[in-house]
Amino acid sequence: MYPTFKLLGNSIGSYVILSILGVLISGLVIYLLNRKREINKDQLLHLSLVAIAGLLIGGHLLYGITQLPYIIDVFINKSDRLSTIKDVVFLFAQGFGGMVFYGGLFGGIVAGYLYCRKLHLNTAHYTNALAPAIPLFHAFGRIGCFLTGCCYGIESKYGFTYIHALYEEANHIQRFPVQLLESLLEFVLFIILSLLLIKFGNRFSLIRIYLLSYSGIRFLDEFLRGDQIRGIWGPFSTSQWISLLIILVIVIEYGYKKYF
Amino acid sequence: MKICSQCGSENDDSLNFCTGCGVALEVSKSEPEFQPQNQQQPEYQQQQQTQYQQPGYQPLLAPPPGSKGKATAALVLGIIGVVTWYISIFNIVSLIISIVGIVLAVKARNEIQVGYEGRGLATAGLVLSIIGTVLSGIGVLAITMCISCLACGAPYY
Repeated sequence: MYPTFKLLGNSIGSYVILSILGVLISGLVIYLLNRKREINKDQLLHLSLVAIAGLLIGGHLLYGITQLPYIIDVFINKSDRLSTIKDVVFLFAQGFGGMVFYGGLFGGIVAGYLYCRKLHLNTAHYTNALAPAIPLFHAFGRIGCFLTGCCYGIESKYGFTYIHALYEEANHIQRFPVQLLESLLEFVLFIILSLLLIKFGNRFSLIRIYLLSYSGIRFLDEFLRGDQIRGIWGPFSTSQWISLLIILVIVIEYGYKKYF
Repeated sequence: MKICSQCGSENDDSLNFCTGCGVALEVSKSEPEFQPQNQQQPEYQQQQQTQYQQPGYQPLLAPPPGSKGKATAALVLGIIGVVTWYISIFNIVSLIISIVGIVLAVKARNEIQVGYEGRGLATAGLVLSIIGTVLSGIGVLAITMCISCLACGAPYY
């Protein structure tokens, strides 16, 4: 599709532009949803910044972990090609340049949780205030994925054909736009969470509802994905295993709280 | 602001425990909004700080020691980030500087409440540091590392 846009004479990835757009719109939406609620707006802002930092670190870290065999291989077997500093920087850009969403999600949640604990804030209250932004931001990210061609769908007669995808094997085959589907579902999830927040306040744990729903969505649509570069363990891909794990943990926690 | 009944320190309304001594704040009483113009409006009461106030004719209260320094540093780092983001190779440093600016500005804003001296400085530092981070990030990706070179299959080891 359109992997880059031209700005000031340089090419900027569409992913970056859509992420920035996503952050701006999510910020606006969070402000609108919370402006009438009893919550400290300054701390909400600070918490968002901390969570975004955690998201970036976690996402890139998890990607780097999945690419670790490749990086180690270059260091051991092909170190003759690492002659300049620029080569090493380039290697790390390849090794850590991508993002895995689940890494980002957990990085953001952990960072936000630690910040709340350190300042003695009510974690549940603030998490509910921020929860609707997660699917909204992710929906934008998925559109960016679609434009860049870094995660793509399986071959199908309903869909689009890439010419300049990030990975050569994606090109020239008509593929199902699975990222657009995920983006749409996430947008619907955002609407649901926003309505729950406005109507019911803190009665439900919106973050758990989100995690449950997104894990289900991710498990199912991973079958429609044509890219297996993120690794396969047995019958399922890494993300599918993580999705199952999340569903399991939430169900167990719910059962534990209800019956003990 | 809530006043801790144990040690008397002021705590923001959203906090549950006193930042001075750690006791729960639920039993403490709330204090009316800090008002620089207290001569003109004796019945001016507000439970939550939702807007900035004009300093008026009263001097601003002093913030905790060291906070103004953090706020100033955050502003300086933010300015550096905004000014140097497009310089190839250096903008990696610029990115790190801007992120440090965000951290310092958040700390300063937590310590300096609305109506205290240095609050505006800290907010300005935060805004510029955020803009500096975003611009430096774009600069590193587009100018230093040239992501489109990666996309067109430049050296895959």
